[in-house]
Amino acid sequence: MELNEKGLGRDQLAYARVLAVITHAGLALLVVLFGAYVLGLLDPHVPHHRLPDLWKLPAGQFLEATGMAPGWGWTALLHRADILTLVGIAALAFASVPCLAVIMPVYWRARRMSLLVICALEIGVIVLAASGLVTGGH
Amino acid sequence: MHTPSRSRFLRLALLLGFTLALPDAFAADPAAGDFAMPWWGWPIALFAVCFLLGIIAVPAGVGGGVLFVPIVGGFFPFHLDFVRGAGLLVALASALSAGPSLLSGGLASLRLALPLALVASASSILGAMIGFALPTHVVQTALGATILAIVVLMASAKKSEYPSVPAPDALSAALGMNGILVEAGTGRQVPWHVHRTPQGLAVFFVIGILAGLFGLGAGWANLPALNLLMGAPLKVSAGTSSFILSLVDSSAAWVYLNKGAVLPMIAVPSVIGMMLGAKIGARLLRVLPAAAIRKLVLGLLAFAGLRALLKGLGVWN
Repeated sequence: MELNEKGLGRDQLAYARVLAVITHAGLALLVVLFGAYVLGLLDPHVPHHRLPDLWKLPAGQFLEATGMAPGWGWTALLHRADILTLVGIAALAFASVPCLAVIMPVYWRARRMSLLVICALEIGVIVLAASGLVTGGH
Repeated sequence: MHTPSRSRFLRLALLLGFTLALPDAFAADPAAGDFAMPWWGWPIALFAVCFLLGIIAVPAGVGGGVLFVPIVGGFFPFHLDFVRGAGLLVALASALSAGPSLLSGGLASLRLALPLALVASASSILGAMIGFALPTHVVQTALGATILAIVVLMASAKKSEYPSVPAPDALSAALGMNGILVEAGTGRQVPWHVHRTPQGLAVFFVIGILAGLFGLGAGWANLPALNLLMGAPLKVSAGTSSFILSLVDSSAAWVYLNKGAVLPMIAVPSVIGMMLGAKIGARLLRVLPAAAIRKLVLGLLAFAGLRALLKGLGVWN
């Protein structure tokens, strides 16, 4: 694989470019959505004043007490400010997947099949974790 | 006589101690009753604590996640599930933000990171699942013991600018886990490669479990594993360590999201506070006494680790 004057390959530079765009967008989204939540611009699913009683509970009991489902159940409540904020968090937790997807063609063209497989497996691990299939989220 | 930097350090230490004492005073006193902090006081206190932690994390050379979980878990009224979830997000957001400049500046190596991150991100799912399966007091006790072990590791671990690696092993050569480090000052190009890759993969499997289990960023373990075990140059190890967290913590974060252990009111002020603090910390790098700050952080970690251990054992609730 060709390297530039800094000794960097096209894979690394492409990953860095995509990561910069997605991370900045994800953080901006998170701040905007949280601002809407904390300022009360949208109604939350769990009222602010109830939080001090609820955040002492384990996560499972918190879900029961608030009538929320584990796994992707939160997506049914996206019209609520606190739940909508989770979109920003999910964007950050998913940020690496497009970066990995972008460098896979670079490895394909360079015939670096081992790295191509590692990228595919890493995407598989993140998607598997997100799916909730192995973690009992569904 | 106090020098300006020492007096600045003392003020910072006092401010940090005062900020940490406030939430504990409100949370621990059941008689606080009518005087209990309103809901909005908690995210503000969390933001302030994380801002200060972010400032001291940079000169101390530690990641925010390892400070966040024991300190917030020990001194705030949140359940440990939510603290671990927020800790992962603090570490993830910091690693994602630093990633582009580390990669494009040549201080992190993508091809060194990918195989190690794959193993650690898979095991971080396992770690997170273990964390949710165990009783809270067991996780709390194990967290305290782990933090105290980290303090010992950080206080005693040596570093090597350019470790001696006579020849790359077959696996690292096949995966292209090598590169060229261009020194910023001189422009000198230093080719590097790594060895002991199978052992490195085994260590990163354990690191992933700890990261998922406790919600700690695992830079404290990544750095010595890359530098001392595998023989990557110190600068490449530091940058790659941070970049690996962006992949490892992504998969673990999804487990916490699926389990309902991510509360925006806890996670977001922590992420914003820590990232803003880290920016200030990076600017103050030249004026803050790094060695003294590192001692302060180690002392703070030891105290928080002891608190977590005793809280888990039911001795200090």
